[in-house]
Amino acid sequence: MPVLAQMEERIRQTWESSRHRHSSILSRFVAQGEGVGATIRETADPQSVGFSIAALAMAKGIASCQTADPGLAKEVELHRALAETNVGLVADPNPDTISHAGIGITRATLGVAETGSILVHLDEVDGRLLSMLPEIHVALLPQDALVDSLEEGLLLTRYLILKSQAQGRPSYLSWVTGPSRTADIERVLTIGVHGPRELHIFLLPPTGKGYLP
Amino acid sequence: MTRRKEFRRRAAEALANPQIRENLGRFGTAYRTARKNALAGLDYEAHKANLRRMKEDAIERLPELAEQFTEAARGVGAIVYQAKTAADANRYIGQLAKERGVELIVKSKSMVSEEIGLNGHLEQLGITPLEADLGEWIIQQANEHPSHSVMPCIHMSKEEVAGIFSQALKREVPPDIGLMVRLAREELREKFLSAGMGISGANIAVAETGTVIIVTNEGNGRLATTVPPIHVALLGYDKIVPTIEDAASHLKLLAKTATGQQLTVYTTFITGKTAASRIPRAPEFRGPAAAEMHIVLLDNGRWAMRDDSEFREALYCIRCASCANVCPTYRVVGGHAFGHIYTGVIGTVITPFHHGWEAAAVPQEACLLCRACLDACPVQIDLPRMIVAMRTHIVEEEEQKKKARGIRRLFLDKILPNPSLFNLALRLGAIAQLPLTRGRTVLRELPWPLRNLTSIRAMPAVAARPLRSRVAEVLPSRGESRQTVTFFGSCLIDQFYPEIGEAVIKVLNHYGVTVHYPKAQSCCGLPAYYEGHKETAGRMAKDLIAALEPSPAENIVTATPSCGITLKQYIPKLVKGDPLWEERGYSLAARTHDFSEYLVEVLGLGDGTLGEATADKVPLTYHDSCSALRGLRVQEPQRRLLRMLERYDLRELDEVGECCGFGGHFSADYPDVAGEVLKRKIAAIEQTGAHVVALDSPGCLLQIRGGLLKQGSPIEVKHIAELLAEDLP
Repeated sequence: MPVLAQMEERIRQTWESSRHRHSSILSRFVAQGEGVGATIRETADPQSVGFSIAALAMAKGIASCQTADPGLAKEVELHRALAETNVGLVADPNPDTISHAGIGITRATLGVAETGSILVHLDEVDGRLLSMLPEIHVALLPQDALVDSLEEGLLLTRYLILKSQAQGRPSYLSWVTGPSRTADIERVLTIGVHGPRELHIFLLPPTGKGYLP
Repeated sequence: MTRRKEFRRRAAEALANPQIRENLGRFGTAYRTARKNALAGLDYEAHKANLRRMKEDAIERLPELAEQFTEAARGVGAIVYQAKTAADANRYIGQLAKERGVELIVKSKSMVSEEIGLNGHLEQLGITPLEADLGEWIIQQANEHPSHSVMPCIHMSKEEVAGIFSQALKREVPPDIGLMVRLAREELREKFLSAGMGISGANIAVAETGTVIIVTNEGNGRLATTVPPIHVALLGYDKIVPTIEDAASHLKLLAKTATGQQLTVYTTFITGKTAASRIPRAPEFRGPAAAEMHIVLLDNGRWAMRDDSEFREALYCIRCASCANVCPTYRVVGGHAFGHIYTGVIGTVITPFHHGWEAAAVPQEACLLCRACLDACPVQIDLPRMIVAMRTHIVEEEEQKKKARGIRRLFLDKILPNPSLFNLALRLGAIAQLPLTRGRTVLRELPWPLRNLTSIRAMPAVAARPLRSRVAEVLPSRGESRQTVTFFGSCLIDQFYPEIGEAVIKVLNHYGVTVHYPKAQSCCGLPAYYEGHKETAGRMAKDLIAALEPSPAENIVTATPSCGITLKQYIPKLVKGDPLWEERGYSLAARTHDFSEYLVEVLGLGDGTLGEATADKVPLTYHDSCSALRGLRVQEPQRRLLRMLERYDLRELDEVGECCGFGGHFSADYPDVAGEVLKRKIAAIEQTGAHVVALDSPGCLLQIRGGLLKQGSPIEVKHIAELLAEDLP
């Protein structure tokens, strides 16, 4: 499969060139993301993310945090963080529970600095719904999983889709750029129509593994 | 009803609703800034060129790409249906819903579904289609069509919207936008869980992977394609591109030019069957348990458009609606008058292919040919050219059906092309107007049937003596002759503003230029060309070439930029392929210069000073004519010349480059629409505090001076040649 191999090479090259510019890419991502209304926080250790989510839930009066990614819940120690609160955690959501989630927690695959977007690759419906239905979407992203340009973001998007396709698997990817918004009535910008009203991006410590899964 | 009468009726309806022009006017102004900010720091020109190249290539390779797309989508579980007509697409979707027992369908925004009238078809089958995009939902509740392809209900006020909410939700809803958005969220959330099918459009379809890309802000697109078990993506063939990476410039420019965002909130890439099969549904849910994905690829005129060399580029459109947002008449009448199902300029241009020529004949009347759309289009689609092509087609059809009669045709096809008849008609006019002018040069009111000409502005009287009777054929330079030029006077200067012609000659003579003014010259044919009388325009092109050829001068100068476009651009096109005329047409075009451009670029003026400096400089503003700015691409020379004038202080207009609403026949045919465009221009002029408006086009001068006079404003309006002539030593 020459196309995929070629793309892998280009992705590796992108990683090499981004590594040296990491801090500028990171600050661009933060500036752009906040510019479109996302809340972005860098964290030194994953455990603190759990506590931040717990604090967020309490501040907003949220009753239920949910994630369809048990590994993720463990990684940021959500159970421990929420144990001392009266916020419930659903880490293996029964489809019935999803529509009651106040906070949906998912991974993001990539961040695009140019536009402040995160790439959310969720082929499984439960996880995907948790990024769509709740009032608050929390996305966790390793802080070195950032590309600078839209073009580089599309390179990776194309790669991920091709990779699934090569295995005959359908895929569902979204670039999410801030919280849901509309300006349909008198051009007045209003946040939170059908999608989340708030988008919180937690930047986890770098993995150093490159963009390729 | 004739197309003009019908457009007048629709325009009157739109003008009766001040909300339309208030909202669109306000938006148009905000849009300029938002777009400019969004594009700042981007190599816009490079991305524009990229996008254009990509779309050209994709449409060229469409047969192959469509096949590749279909196969790839099938490979990941999608069922692809290729629909030839709107009826085919409707039938397929309706049958699918029926067979699966679907009763409720949620839709994310799809203009193609508007194109084919899908909602009406589904309702006939007893299926409820529910629009989930907020704007579309409001429009649907109000039983209307979108008036704008990006912002469907931009013509409504929040009070109107609150009324619609109150009726739909059967409770009193106050005009509080935040509250209404929350209510819509709650109302529609329920519906997503009850719907058996979700229908989306697509902004882009990717041949390599069979991916459908949907761009939305609200998030309804993701819900409609995830929550119901069946997802139907309905899209035209024109959306197909080779790979996701090819979509880079498309995605980069779409949101920036559409709404001034860097990127829309959700850019979703759906590849294959991905909808939910096992989620808890509302009790009202009717539909299948297992997920399905269907892609309906629609032709409905697109392949014919591809085969039509004149209209093919309309398929490159990315539906950003920039052409509507910057259109001066769209901003006045909105998309219900300027549009059929598809609105604005591109909407009108594609209408013949989707909905027939009959449907397109009326909305195309709204075009002033100001070219603002061409400059705003991120794919460089030549919309003004296609509007003229439409008019040509419509006129030809009317000729065939013997529908074209009357004074207008007599004027365009018989009087205008005949210099002596035309001159005679205006000379008669000069006599006939005497009881009205009583010696004045301005007519404030004309009686019926010419009343339309003065409803928004005063008209100039026909000159007592036209320029051709006032000056000789050869007008020698002052001092030694550096150059010789042929002056193309234009009808407006010859018959209405001979003083501008005299000023042009005086300035040229002063700077050592001998001017030849061949009296055999006639109208350049622009009115005929713009109104679709191509055959007449072709004849007039040849007459003009022949009339100007005997003059020995190397260069031709005109002080009427609209005619300058005819000479430089249309005449070569009109005589192209005619062995006797082609070369001569090119030569005419190559030698023609706009007055200001000639002075600055050829004679090298523009750096010194002219006239006496005064203690208090007179504030002056400059109005760019659409023809010079976007037709001839001349905008700096005029400013350099004006800065030479010591007496004046040049102040730029807000919304530089906006049309004044003259548009030749347009302001005579549709004075009320043109009058609203003129109002904006006058307001911008007044805002600068200028005492003098300088301009370079007699047409704009007629419109703006006439409008100011009508209001009793003391602001003077002068052609740049007059201002220069006044201050020559």
